[in-house]
Amino acid sequence: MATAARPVVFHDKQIAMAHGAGGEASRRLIEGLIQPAFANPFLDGLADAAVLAPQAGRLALTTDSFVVQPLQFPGGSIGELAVNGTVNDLAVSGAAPIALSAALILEAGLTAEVLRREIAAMAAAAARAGVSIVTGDTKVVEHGKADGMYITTTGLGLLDPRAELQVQRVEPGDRIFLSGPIGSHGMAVMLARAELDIEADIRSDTRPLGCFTSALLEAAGSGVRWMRDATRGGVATVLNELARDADLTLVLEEDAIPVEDAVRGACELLGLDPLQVANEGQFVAILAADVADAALAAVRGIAGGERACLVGEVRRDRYSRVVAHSAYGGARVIDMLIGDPLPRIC
Amino acid sequence: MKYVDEFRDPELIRKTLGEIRALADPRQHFRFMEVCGGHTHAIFRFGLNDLLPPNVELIHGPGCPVCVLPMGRMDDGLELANDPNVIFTAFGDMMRVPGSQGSPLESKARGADVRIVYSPLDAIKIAQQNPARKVVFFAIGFETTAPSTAVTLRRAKQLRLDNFFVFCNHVTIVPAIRAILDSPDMRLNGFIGPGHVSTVIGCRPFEFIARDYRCPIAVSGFEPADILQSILMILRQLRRGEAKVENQYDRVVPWEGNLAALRALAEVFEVRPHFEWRGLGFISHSALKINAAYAPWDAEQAMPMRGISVADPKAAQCGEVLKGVLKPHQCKLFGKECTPERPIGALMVSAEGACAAHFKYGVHEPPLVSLSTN
Amino acid sequence: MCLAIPAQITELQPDESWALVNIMGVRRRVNIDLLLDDPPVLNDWVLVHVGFAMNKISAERAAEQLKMLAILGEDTAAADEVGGYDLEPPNEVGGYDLEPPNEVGGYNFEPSDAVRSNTEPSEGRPPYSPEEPRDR
Repeated sequence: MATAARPVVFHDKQIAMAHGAGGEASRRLIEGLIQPAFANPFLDGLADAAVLAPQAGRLALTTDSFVVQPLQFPGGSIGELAVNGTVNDLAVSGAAPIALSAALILEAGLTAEVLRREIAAMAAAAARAGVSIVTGDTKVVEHGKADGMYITTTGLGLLDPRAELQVQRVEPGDRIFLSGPIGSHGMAVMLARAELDIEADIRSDTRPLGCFTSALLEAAGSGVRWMRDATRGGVATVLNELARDADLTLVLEEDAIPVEDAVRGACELLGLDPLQVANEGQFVAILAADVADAALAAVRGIAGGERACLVGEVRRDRYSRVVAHSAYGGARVIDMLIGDPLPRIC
Repeated sequence: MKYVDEFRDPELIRKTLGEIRALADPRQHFRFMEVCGGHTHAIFRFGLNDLLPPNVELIHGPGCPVCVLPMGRMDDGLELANDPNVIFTAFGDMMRVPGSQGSPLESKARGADVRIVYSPLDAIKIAQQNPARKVVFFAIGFETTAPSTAVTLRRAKQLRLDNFFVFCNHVTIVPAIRAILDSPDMRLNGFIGPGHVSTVIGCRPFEFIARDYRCPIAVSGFEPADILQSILMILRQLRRGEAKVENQYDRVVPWEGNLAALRALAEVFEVRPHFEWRGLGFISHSALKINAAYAPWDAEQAMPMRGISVADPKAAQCGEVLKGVLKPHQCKLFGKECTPERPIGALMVSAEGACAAHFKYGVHEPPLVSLSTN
Repeated sequence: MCLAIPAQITELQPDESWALVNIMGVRRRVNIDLLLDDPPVLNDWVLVHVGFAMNKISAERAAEQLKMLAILGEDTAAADEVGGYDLEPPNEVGGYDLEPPNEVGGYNFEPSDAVRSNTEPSEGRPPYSPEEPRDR
């Protein structure tokens, strides 16, 4: 692709098939909108590949696709999710992001205004996470063949040398750490669809988690056994996967799990379990008991980490499962989410 | 959360449990049926089963409207859903219920316009927004939910909506309880009565349980303290050799029920001569039909429908589990062919179904309280 | 069956049959046609099911139930009597200033005036009775 001799401006009102065809319209879109927003030296040449210098240490590579309706919802939007989601997959792997790639599938008819907004959201989220989007691709599909836009991001990260995250290192007696109140993202999106005609001031929790995972590693080092962001399926699902993979029982103290009031109210109304509702800015970690308190204090000392808490512990039992204990001595098995969370009426 | 958190108070729950332990004579075995699926769900969600003394056994009753819906009705509904001119609306609970050709979610995946609504009135709104299409609301539920359908039909009539239809699958709880009590292999010492049904029908319809079957019943709320208090009330009746209807849930349940709701039901519905219940078979006078005055909005009267009864897979022993003769995990299919993700039998379908609750909350496994907290 | 939860009325539009209710900051319009016999007022608590207010919630009765449970175990005899099962006159309840069981109402078997006050007279059957199918 040749570098433009004069500045290219994107004045188009909406996306058409031509914007994905590689011709003049594509050039306007890329050079007039996307490249300026993501501005970084890797993109400036608009070569077919970004060229990165080799790094000392171990690399982490992750990819994720983002489809969400509506594209924008209280507290976030698809562009912000697409960056945070991938950055967070790196963070809970114990890696700091080096670079991101982004692939956009746009539906013909998408307004330029929406695209401009989402590109800006991606740029802002990348800046907040301290990473650049160094390469990408854009395709357009016919109207009616996609929900406005889909984004796939790939993240390359450098592993923190202190990170020794392995399911096999999780042991009975370890503590279960949760970074903050759960269920906000899933509920914000569900209510934003407006099909249920329910209003609440619930905002998605989408945010980069790197500062918190770094703080845990800084405070607890190899005492951090395992981390996972609790996205689709919520905390219940990631813990069930851990219980199965580690062949251990995870015991939660139900009352210790923070849930915002409005999220709880919406869950009661719709018959949903907050533990099964998606998060985009919370993660779960397993910490060695002797360093758990110090690690918790470290996270709580960071803005946005105030409501982190220890919510349970790892046990060995005949069965590998997730169990929640209540204050009055009751207990229930916490299951994985089956399919999508569906409002329960009867 | 007011009227919820107070009834989950650990101290109250411990006290009530202590009283139950003191009252449940260890030489006796008590079998109480919670009629309502909402109770079944609450019992598992709050882990009440493991907290009760071992000689107080809870049998999960037929009060899950999703579970007892026969497959033929689901097939009829989905045939409507597959019409490209139809918008099929239903509660979220229905979405995974299998018909013989798959569930509403699977129909949606194949292109049917299937939408989840929170309220039947939301389906009216969809009908107003889509005047060129037919909107079908798949109505299910016991007497708790039926008045909302009745008010919705009234609204449709007022608005003279000609593109809104209700496929009525409302059932009534009393004939089902009677069927269970009449079943020869049934041995029950008491009933935890369906609190939310009773907000509509009141407590009087349950008097026959005490009078004719000498069985105590406590109409119960849904929080842990409510359910435990109801168990306590039944135990006290048994100790005194009494059998009567008590209203534990009188903060919302008037003894006579909600007369405005009952009037709405009488205006819109009539009782069907008989209706099929999944797992229980045909029960007389056990369901509601939309009456002649509302025929234009009745999908069964206004739209083509086959109305064929479809047999459940033979190996599923739902009937025995529903009647409390078998525990869910004693069914041959439990957790093997039949799981919440791919349910075969009725009781695995809904989160309130006894089998789904057993599966989900792991009751087939050792008691959870053996894992002591720190 | 039938998920229903308590919610407080924060806005009322009786002419249009709806009320706005609040559940821990979650807001939804609910239909109030089922409360025709006992019209709600602002700040009333109601039980909400599928977008309908089913019944009002009685604060008094809720408080009485909690009171009843709270004294369990402390004095079984007292609890028994409050529960309406007393064999002894209620004024012998030691240490608890409680009214006679029928007025306590936690367990009364007949409708109290409080329950009936705003409903129709109870003679005869309700217009709809699942026990008595009218096509029989």
